[in-house]
Amino acid sequence: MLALRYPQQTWLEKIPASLKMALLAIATSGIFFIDSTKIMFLLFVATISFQFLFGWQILKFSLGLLKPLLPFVAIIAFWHLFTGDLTQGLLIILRLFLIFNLANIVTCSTNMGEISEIIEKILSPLRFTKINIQAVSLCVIIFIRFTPIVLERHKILHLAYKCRSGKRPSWQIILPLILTVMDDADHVAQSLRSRSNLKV
Amino acid sequence: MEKKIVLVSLFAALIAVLGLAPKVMLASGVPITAQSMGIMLCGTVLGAQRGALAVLLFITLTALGLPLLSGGRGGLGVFASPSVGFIVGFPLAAFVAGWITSKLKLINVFYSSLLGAIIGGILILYIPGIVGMSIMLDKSISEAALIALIYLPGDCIKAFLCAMLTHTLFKLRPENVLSRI
Repeated sequence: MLALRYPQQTWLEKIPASLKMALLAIATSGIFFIDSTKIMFLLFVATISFQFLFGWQILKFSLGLLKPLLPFVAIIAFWHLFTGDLTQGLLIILRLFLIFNLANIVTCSTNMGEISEIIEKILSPLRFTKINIQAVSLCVIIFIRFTPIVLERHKILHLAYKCRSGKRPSWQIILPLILTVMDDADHVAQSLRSRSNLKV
Repeated sequence: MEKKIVLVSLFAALIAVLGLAPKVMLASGVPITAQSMGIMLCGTVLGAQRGALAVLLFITLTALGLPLLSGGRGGLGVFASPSVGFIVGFPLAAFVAGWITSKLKLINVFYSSLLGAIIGGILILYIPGIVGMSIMLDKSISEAALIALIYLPGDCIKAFLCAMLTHTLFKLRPENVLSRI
């Protein structure tokens, strides 16, 4: 429910995650050396066309993921309109969209478990330190299990505040939310103590 | 140990939820979310180490592809966006906020957490944030600092709210404000 994935299966999922991430690292580094707006535009159009090969639904989903960049586009456009260097502004905007889109292609076409395995490999030297790998795994499980629960509780507090005051809450419901999180922490910790065999 | 693990995980979940909550618009038209206040709260409530660990867990899982950053952002793309410096600086911000709150035990918790939130959550966070913006937007450090200034009023409000929340929590349940124990 929480993962960022394409709405449909594509053949990109079959490519090993390590290869995709290596290609992404090379592409991202290479893009910084391009200073032609035309080439940057062509590359961006190429990535969009590539996503269109997988169907309209995936393209629509991918374009939706680029929305968070819009406030930055507005800032850069305004800045370069002010300094009079619009070509440079356009180059920066295209570079942002291109790198962001490439990274999204890798994320949306890669299983979370595969990325997690790569990170585990990268972090493997830490096994020789005092870091408790079992505790880290448990943290991840609790986080994934409880984020939807905390979100649901936030919605309930939001509704309760709205019903009683007639206004939309903002910061007022954060304290009760923290208190419920603290209560949950007590209960979950107690359950873990009694049921798990966590090595301390 | 169990309580520590659970608190770190649940506060990471709290940061995620605060980012998904509706935005508040400032008079300048800049939207602010409570997510960076969640970072400050991790430090001021959980303390330096636990706070930084909670933030680190949140960022790692966001990088793995969970769309938990404000605006539903997630995946490796966020490390290619202009806010990369802020995201990378989040654990350090929580650590400094927690360290200051825990070191200033002799003064009122409101003031110690306010100072922690301002120094950690604003001053320290803005250093990698501005450097990241400067690289990604191809601007000089001073130009990037000027762009980052639009977030300052919102962050000051968040630091104040963070101090107020930590103070109230300390009055209600002092045993839960681990940075002061």
